[in-house]
Amino acid sequence: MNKKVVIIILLSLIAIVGSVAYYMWNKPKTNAADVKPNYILPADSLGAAFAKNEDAANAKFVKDAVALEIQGVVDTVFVNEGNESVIQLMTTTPDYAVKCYFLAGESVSASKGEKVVIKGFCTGYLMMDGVQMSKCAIIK
Amino acid sequence: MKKLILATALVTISFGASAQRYFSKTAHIKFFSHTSAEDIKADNYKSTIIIDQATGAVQVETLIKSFEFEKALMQEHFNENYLESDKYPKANFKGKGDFSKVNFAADGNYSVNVAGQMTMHGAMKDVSAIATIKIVGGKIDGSTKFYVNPRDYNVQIPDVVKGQISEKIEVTVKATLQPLK
Repeated sequence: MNKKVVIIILLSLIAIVGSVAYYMWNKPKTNAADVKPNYILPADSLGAAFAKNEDAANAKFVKDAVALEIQGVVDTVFVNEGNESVIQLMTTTPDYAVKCYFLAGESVSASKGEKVVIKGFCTGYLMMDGVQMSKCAIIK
Repeated sequence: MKKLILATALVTISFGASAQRYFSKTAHIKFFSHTSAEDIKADNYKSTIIIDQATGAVQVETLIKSFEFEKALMQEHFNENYLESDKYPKANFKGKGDFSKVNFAADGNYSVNVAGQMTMHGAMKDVSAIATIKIVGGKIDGSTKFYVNPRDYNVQIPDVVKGQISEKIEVTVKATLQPLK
């Protein structure tokens, strides 16, 4: 094979590998808007699952590859110190509210009492706080 | 008799005030790894802390997947390869500190020795640190800083990136505390 052809192939390979590595390193954080949910359930059921058995709920819902679609009623809306918008959904189980966190810098429009459907990934349960969801997106 | 009732009431009120619990649901936990090759930091603004002044008990809980990195890829590696957050979603600290010397009702600065056990990635280790409590105009700010070695928590770091991740990771905790009613 011609030496020039070999050099061109090698340089092309280096350029492709470099481009892929550069893309992977700089790929943006994305929310769950375009992810197909693995579970569709009311906020109350999610809170109740953690109240009943935290380990079992972790095993079922807290997975990188498991997206949830949650229906609920807005309790509070605020922005935390990390510039993350937060929608807290009402639940009937005390201390097991569902808190939906959006990517930092993303603004949300929702008000108390509004019915919403939110997609996101469950990150677990914290004492006194409730069940947390990350990378959230309002579907309707 | 009136004096006795008044004295009893005052003792009850002062005991109640000094025996309160204080908490935060928005504690900021930051970790910072410095090496000559790279600085890595992550922030989590969704952690919980509760302090019981009467018993000195302190409890901190945080979710591993809630740590935010600058790069999405770093965050993926942290969760999938190092902390295995699908398997170990939560880290916590349970310990004690001498909070009896803190007058939460008045302005002041206090240093409190806190010691206990931190559980992360399925491993538990003793941790101690000095916490600072600063009270100004009724606002109670608590903070502390300590260091952890990933190896103490069985975090496996591949040889290829060993030079990029410090063995002495700085952990900073900051929270504005509120009385728990």
